[in-house]
Amino acid sequence: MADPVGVGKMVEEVYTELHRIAGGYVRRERAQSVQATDLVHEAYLRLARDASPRWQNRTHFIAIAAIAMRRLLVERARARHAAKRGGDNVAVTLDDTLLADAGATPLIDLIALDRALTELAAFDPDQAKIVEFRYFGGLSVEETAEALEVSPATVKRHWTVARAWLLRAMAGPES
Amino acid sequence: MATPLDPGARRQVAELFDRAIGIAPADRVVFLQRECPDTAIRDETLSLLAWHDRTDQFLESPAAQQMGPEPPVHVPPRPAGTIVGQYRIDGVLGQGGMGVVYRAEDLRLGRVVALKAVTSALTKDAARRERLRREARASAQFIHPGIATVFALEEFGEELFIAGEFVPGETLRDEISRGPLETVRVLDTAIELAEALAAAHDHGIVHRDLKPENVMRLPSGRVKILDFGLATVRDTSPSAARLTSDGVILGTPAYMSPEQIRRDGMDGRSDLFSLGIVLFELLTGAHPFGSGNGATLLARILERAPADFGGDPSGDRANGPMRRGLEAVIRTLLQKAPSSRFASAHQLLAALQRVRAGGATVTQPAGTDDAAAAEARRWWRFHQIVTCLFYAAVLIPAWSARRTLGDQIGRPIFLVAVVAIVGAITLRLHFWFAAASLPGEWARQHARNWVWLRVADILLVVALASLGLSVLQTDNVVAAVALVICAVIALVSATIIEPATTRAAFERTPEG
Repeated sequence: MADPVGVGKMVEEVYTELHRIAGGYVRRERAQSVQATDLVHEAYLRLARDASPRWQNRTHFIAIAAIAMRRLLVERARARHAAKRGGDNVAVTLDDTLLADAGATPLIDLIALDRALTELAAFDPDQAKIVEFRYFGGLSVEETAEALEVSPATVKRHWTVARAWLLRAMAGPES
Repeated sequence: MATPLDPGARRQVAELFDRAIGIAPADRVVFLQRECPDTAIRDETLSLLAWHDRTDQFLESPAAQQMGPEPPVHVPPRPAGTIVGQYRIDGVLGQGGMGVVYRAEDLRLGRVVALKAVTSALTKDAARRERLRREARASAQFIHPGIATVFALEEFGEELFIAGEFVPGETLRDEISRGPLETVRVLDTAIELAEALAAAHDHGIVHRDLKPENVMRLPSGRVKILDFGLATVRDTSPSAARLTSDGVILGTPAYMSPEQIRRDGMDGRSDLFSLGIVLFELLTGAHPFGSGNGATLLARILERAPADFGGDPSGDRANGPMRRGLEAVIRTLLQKAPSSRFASAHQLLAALQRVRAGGATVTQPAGTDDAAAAEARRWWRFHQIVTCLFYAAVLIPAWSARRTLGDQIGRPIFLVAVVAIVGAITLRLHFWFAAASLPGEWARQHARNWVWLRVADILLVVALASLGLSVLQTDNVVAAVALVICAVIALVSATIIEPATTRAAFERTPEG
């Protein structure tokens, strides 16, 4: 990423914006469900409108937004999880959360994913970054390659291994 | 948990994984045993491969989360045979941005209609409901062969239905999915769509959601636009475009104009941009701003130039001029600034008909069809040529002053003046040429080079003033006065007149 000094502040800014937009969706009852990437693009459009050159590079923006998005989603998942824990006990099992519902988008246990992703980042930051950009930022293989300045083939290779690795890590030690 | 491996071993795992992934699961063990003596690495690779086989759609679609408190409500479509008011539902035609569209029979009039059940989320809000009524009324006011007619707005209790002409055929989306169309067919389609848009715009109705899914190709080969004038009811903001109240993700906002994305206020020219995308797709089979998810696609619409057209797939040389003409029209439609597109659908239509007739290729940039714009352009050209001649003429007093001043002072200043004059004239001729023959390029060329033009102009003013003031000490009064006057004229011309004529002639587009 271009400038490591400014990134933290930019993530903070995008996070605030995402948080506001997401809050707006809930309050206005406009839609009950929203793609994370829609939030990202709405944030992009809002921030891109102020002409600050920091936001001029779209790929860079989305890369930053991916980090903010991950934080937002994981925090929401934690909050929901905490709220549920009071009532009935939700044992989140692999089959429920990961592999159920072959047709529809399977629900993913974001808390477990976050934990696994942090673990992956400890020894393979590149792979973790690719997952962050692709899953949380909604970047395509080509766009991820552009953002990280590597070839699409490299992204695809890392992506494939990382998914297998994460799935295994999230499944826990039992296999 | 995975056995901790050192970085070197992990690299080996990744490499083996990559090579083994194409091999049938049953043969992987043999392959790995042959390729890798280390059991730890081998086991790790096998484990990852086994998990890879289970990944399926894991993480493949970007993070989707329930952002709201309510679970999505799915309203099942009504079964065939259901009677709604005077209509009998025969089946589902499709699911649009506003709700389910049924094929139904109007039992009273005995005709087949397209019955659109507007989702309750859109009608719950009183203001929106009223807007929907108004829009439906406006669309029902006029009939055009290129537009699906609205027959009636029906309200049965809480529910709202729009009954409209049933249009048989297939959508342009179906057509595009089979690959690009022939140039002449695209051109004919473009002409029909331009006629329909012109008629609607004349009635003050803007489509706002023109896309291949909304255009039907009739069995007769003609096209008809669906859902006209109903889009203001929909929330067409970029974020809402992908959502319905029941959480179903619809198409991407891939056909929005830049001003629509920015919510800058839009008119019929926004439809022209959307039409440009549709025509581009018909002609090439691909979207001019590439694929991708909402965010990146929208950003590209805002920031990037459309893709190249590529060659004519049919390779038919005879089509050459027609294809180039059509491409020029589409490029004009895809201009970011509304003022750089055609001023109206009528002008678009005229341009398309010229291409069809094989007449002048349409290389006229947007807006020039306007008498006022043409006039402004003439003034701009006039100013450019006069400035060039004036700069050349200035060499005469400058040369006179240089001789009076002698080599030491005169020569360097004179040389500066000559360099500035040559630079300024060259750049002006370049702009002239770009405006005349590469209208699409003009804005970029101008944006890139106008600073240098200004530098040359100011340099010349300074050189002329210095020569004039220096020569004032001598008895060459004529040259001195002439030079000072020339310096003032050049200054006024470069800083006041030229920017004004340029703006008037080209209406500088906002960057974006």
